[in-house]
Amino acid sequence: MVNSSRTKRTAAAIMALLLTALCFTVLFNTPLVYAEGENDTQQAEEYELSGKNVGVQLGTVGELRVRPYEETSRSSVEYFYSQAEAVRALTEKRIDCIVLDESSIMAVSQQNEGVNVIEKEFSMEEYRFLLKSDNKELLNKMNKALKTLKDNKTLESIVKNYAGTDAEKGKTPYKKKDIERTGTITLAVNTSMKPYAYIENGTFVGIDIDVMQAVCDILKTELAVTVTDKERIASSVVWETADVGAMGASDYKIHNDVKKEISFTGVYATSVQKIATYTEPEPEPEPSEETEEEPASEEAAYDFKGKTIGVQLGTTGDIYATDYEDDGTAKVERYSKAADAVQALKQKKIDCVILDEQPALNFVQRNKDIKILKKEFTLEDYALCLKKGNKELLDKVNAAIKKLKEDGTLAKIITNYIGTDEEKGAAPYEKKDVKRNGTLVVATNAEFPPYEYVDNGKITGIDMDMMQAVCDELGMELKIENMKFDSIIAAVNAGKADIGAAGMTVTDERKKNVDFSDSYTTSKQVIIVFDDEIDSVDDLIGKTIGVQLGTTGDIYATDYENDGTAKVERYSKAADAVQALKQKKIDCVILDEQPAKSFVLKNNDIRIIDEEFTLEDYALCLKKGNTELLDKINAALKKLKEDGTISSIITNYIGTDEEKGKSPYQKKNVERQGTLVVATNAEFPPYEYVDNGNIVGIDMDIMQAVCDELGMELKIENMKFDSIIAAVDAGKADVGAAGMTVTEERKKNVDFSDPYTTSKQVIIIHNKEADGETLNFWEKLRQNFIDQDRWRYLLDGLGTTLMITALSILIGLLLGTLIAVVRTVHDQNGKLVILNFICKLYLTIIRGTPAVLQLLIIYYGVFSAVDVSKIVVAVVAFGLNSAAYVAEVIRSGINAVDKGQFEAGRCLGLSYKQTMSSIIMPQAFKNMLPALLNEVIALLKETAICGYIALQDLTMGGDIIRSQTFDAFLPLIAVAIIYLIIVIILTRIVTVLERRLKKNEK
Amino acid sequence: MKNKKKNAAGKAEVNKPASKTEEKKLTLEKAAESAETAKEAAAERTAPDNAGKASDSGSKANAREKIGPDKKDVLIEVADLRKSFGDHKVLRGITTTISKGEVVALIGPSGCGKSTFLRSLNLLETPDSGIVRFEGTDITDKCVDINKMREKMGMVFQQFNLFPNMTIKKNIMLAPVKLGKMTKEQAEKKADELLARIGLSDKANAYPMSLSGGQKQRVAIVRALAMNPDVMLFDEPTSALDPEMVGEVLSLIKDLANSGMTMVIVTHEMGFAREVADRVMFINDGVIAEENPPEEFFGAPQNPRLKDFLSKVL
Repeated sequence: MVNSSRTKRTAAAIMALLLTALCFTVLFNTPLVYAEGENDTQQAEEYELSGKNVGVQLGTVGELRVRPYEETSRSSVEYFYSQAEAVRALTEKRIDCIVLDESSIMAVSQQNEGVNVIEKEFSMEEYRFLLKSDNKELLNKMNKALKTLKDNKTLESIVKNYAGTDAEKGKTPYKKKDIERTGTITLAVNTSMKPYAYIENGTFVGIDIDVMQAVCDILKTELAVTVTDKERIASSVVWETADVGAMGASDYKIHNDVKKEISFTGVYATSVQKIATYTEPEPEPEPSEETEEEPASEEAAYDFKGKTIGVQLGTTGDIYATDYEDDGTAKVERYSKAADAVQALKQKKIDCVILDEQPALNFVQRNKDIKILKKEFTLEDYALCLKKGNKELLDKVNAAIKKLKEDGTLAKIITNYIGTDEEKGAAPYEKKDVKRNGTLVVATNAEFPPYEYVDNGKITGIDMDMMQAVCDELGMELKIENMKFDSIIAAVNAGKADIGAAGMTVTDERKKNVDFSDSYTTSKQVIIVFDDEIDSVDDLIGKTIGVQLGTTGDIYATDYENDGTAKVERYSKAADAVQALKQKKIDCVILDEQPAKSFVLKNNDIRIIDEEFTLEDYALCLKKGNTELLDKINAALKKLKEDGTISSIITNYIGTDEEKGKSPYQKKNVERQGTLVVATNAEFPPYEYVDNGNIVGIDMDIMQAVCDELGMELKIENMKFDSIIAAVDAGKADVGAAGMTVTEERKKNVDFSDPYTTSKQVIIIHNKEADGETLNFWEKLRQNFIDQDRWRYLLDGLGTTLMITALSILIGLLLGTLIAVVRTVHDQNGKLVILNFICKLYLTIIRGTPAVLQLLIIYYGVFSAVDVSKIVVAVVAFGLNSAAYVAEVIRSGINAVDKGQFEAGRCLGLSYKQTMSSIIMPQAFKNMLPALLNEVIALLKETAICGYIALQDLTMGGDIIRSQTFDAFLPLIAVAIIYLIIVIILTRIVTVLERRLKKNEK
Repeated sequence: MKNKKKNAAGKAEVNKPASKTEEKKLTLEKAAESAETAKEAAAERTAPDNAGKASDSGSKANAREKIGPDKKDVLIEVADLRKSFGDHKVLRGITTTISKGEVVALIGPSGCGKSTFLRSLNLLETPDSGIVRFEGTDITDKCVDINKMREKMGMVFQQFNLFPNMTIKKNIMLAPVKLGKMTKEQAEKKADELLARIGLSDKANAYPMSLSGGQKQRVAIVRALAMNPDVMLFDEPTSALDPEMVGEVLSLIKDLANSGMTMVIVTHEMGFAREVADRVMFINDGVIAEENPPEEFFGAPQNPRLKDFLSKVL
């Protein structure tokens, strides 16, 4: 016990120490200098801007400070929208320097080699707020508030949001707090001071605005903003038309008289502008003989373990790969041609190819589905090989090579083959016209572009041209012998060739057999791998994209489909698309960010790529022309936005793990008149989805909030996504809320409310790193059916299915019998002509259209104005459908009875009716039984389409489970088995019945 | 039984037992004498019915004047009956009468129209033109309740047409009960009687499927009799039977004929026709080609085609 209190005290002491240290660091890092008034601007001493091309980013202080230079014609200024563009202009030497905020420019220089930041800042400014001198109370309060905001990094985040790097901007907007406020503080600003105070989308934004808002949040007052000229900001504070003034980045000098009456708060933001210039980074150092691994790439080294490596026979790649083969790390496939190895890679027969860089680049350029890993495999020099001891020729060759290097011929030759597209082929080596004495036989393996290869029957390439150049220098005739690579050294050795030139590297092994010239060029061995990974939106080309039907992702993907750049697979549910992605049936899925995050969270074998696809707003859709409701809803949305309800609802579903679920929307207790019917597609978490049998989600809570505002009852109708607009249009629903974006196409059919939230479309791809832990069968079983009582979906669904089938069959039998009788009477007696015609028409229509259509027509057309249970609709639709088939079955059953029976009955004096009922029908019934049973079975299975009107039957139960667990197989199989069991039972019953009836005849 | 005197042909009776057939006739005649009285008594019994029926049919809207010499005795009158099936003219003007107690046999090759003629008698086939009068009522008239007419006309089919989904007894009882002719008990009693008469009482609760052809046909006959018809129409009653079973059915029909039932039989059994019929008709080309009592019909056929037919069959 004594120990514990002592440890407690020690712990407390350490904590206190740490906190103090933290405070000091914070304090020292923020200039809490209560300097006097004006904003200081210091001219750069070391770097002179005048006469230079200066690049600045629009909307920054840099722009404001540099502009005067342009106006006085001392410099020319270029304006860029983004820092990245400015930097590119700098590195491409279109401008001499750039001026940016310090933090941005430091980031830029880190990311770009050669960008130097001039130490002496271009300008340093500190910003404070102005108050009237005698408003000491407010001054103290504000300073305290500012200190708090500094401590909790709010100030920093606000500044970063407006003036940070391209990546930081806009990411941390300040959120006005939802609190009780008393009183108002008026802030005077001039709105031409980007990014401190300006107007965007009709609202006041900017660092000054947000900081004051944060202050007001702390002081629990309202913030009001008035706009005035920058000259008058100070005077408006003095004359009390405003409580606080923000000069921001204005360099207006306050008049001394006015200054007397003004006090300044502490600094809330500092702006340091720095200049950066660009110097080209130095060329690479001389290549060494040893192969070195450069630490240039950030990629981890390629792991060959267990892989199959493709190499060209006899090349250095082969030699190195053999090492892996010998120690059993990897398998090696050897190809006589590099092209074959690449081919095998494309066909995924091997995992990678090791090749010289230049040929590799060549291949990769022509094949989009392979890529070179950043980390090279080896770095090496090429040399010519000569017969051991042939010193005379060796010296001559070395001298020739040296000359060719010095006069740039070698470089030109190389560039001619492996330069940029413009350089290639532009300056081919021209054989010189010199006296030649003797022949130089060069052995090569002309299957190694671009060093040596056959082109139009001729052997060309870097090595060949170089050898020609060497021969021109030596005054000898060039003769090329083409042979297999591993024959070259033997040939040189045997004297069949004088020189071997074949992109050969110097190895100790080879040195045993031949001598090498000086190296004439350096090459890298790189690793080529299959690249089908999607890293950016551009990579979508040639891929198969999965989207949910009727969503914005669908619309965007269709563009790709229309111009043939990608294939698109459409799924009715987002979960199905994700499923297909997991099963690698498609390459990627385009989805709204929030649902995408939701899926990715549950599945670690998929991930979202960094580059977003689009950014969009969601709105509610209403029936066209319903302006009254639209206005009400927009007003409600506005209120909910302003009082923070919407953001709290959104955070409750998609905030951080701590925020999630912490602020669920509570339905208010208000008077309600009338019902607002909302159509949604509850398969789009977290906007709308089914949870424990309830339809929940961001959109649903928002709609509840709206209904609370409007004093109406909320009714949710769940249906397929592409049925929503139809439902709203038909008046079956008042509002459609389903994470829907406003598109021109949709606007034709419905009106949209103001957007209530913004979302991103992102691209989900397969996560190669995660091998995916798969559950075993029993775990899957548990997850699909037992977890969260999912089996209930099946049980309840089954009940619905059976009930609908039974009721429909009943109607079908009754109606069908009637129709059959009418038809039979007409056929036999020629009576009931009109009724018969009606029946025939009915039969033709029902049997000539798909049941799905009939169901939809009855739901949307017949029952559009009436509010009936979906089960009634289904029973009516299926009953009518079934009656048509039953009628024909009955009729054929009757016709199958021998005519003599009928005659006998009539001849006994029985009337038509009596004959039919006593004699014919009982016999016909036995005939009909198998066919009627088939009809029942068909009907049972047909009811699976209930999902089209969002009736939760057995099939839909399976779908719901599937969308929750992403396991396609088990729920579907389970549903199929249940249907099968029922059908078997039914068949059994009728077999017994048939047997019993047959007995009667014996 | 035969009542030759009723034959309008006015042929003189020849009582010489010139041949075996004639011998037969004599014995039959004797039987006929005794039967005659019974017949007359029966006729009297039925007469008031007939009269009643006649008056009934007379009271019906379109009742027409009866043709024929002896109103009381003519059961069925056929006048210029015509029937075509599509282009094929089957009946081209048949005129005949069938008197009470008469047994008329229809003989001829297949397709000549005998079945069509028979079926026209109870309107199973509707004639294209012509009149069919049953007990004075023109049954071709649309206003006539054909069901009521058919109650009094029993029909026996070649294919028996027993109702397979009912027991034998039920088969017999069905019509009388359903049409309100008898109560259930009465019908049952009648059925038992009838079954006993044909010796199939043990089959009362059996289903038609378990009976032999001959048994089935006898039940069919008895089923028709349950309605107490005035005339029995037989459409090739033994054509579908094994030779062994033909005998039992023919014997039943013979008994029926002997009891004075008016019958029209379409048959290929020449011997039977000779034995049982009062009159034999040969229909050819849609008309009655020859019509005679059996001994002339079979013994001295006039019509060349009949001669031809008989030469092949006999």
